[in-house]
Amino acid sequence: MKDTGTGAPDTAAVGTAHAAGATPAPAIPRRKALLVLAGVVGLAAAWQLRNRMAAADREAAPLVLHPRPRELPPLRFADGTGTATNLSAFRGRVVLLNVWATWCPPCVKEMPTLDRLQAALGGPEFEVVALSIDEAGAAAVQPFFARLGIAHLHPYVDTFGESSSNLVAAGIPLTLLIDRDGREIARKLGPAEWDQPAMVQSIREHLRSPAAAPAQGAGA
Amino acid sequence: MMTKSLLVAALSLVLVACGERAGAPPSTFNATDISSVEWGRDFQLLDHHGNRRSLADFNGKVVMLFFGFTHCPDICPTALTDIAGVVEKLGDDGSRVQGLFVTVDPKRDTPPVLARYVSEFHPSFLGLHADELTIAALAKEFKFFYGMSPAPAEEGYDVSHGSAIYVYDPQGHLRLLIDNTDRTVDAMVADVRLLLNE
Repeated sequence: MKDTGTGAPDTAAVGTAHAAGATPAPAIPRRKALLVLAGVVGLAAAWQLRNRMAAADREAAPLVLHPRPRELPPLRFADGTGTATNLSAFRGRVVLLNVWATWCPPCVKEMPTLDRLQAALGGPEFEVVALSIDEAGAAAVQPFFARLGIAHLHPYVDTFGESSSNLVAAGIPLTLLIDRDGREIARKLGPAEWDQPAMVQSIREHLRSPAAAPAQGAGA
Repeated sequence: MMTKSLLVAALSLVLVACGERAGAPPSTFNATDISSVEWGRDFQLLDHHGNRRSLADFNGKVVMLFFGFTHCPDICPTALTDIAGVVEKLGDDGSRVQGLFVTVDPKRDTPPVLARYVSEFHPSFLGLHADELTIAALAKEFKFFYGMSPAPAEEGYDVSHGSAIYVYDPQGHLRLLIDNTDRTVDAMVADVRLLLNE
């Protein structure tokens, strides 16, 4: 984090992993290279690596929007009282969906920044939905929120295991910006400083943007 | 400069398994079939209760083994959550699946830390550890590369590693490698069922 000098060796390592993964190395006789697992696994590691680079920069960077919104699978979960709800219940509002767990240190680190984002922008137009994949559910999340002084977020829990199996492949924290029609418009793997002015501004702009606003009179 | 770098060593898990399987029928598994590899045959580790463990202890069960550490710096792998999901979805057969978590950070992942950590995912899971040399040798055996940054002045240091799950059949043979990029619990359940019913 403090060390921006890590870029060079990290980049080199990433490059190596990519090369090993992408090319079924000419050095290895084709007939022998029946299983080249380097790609998937190596890339995963490289991905983690890249995520470590210039962490401070990335954590403060505004979200990069997808070129086109992406449909999301139906996602059921429960609120803090154990009542089942789902993503569709948030139609008409912009949602920042954060998938996290109490056992995940970077998730824990960014949680106060999500709480402050909710304090700043939460309302009829926007909500931060912090969705925990803790096995123990609300029993793990509620005391944790209390201890951290999380005052503005609701303790949603992934009771149905749907966010972990449908959404999260590699790891958490995973955060999705979801438009008023329930479509994913941006995604971030790894922590961020969600209450940084640039981040708040980019979300606020999105709330205002006519492209993202529901058509007048049309049901979301 | 080199001393300042967080990670210099190769950190990517690069597995190249070679073998002649010409004419073999296409695998029915969702995960990568690594039945033909000759590594990863066994391990000798301590569980978080202090018991010696090797593969033979889990005879009759599908073993799902994952290397990791509890202090994830940036992104926490969700492999253990998914393995717990597999155990749950299998219902009664879930008792025939053993989730194992091998720490690559034995300094910080002491038995009490491991015990607390793995039980957050599933009560049946075991955390496995050993001294650093043993872990390094095991990682090499499993073609698993990880790096640890020294960062002595800091309170923490980072560990980087791959995120694959190694799957053994009930006879203790290494059969599948589940990578983390497009893993789903349902696909894992299907694979484990196949192994249990062989």
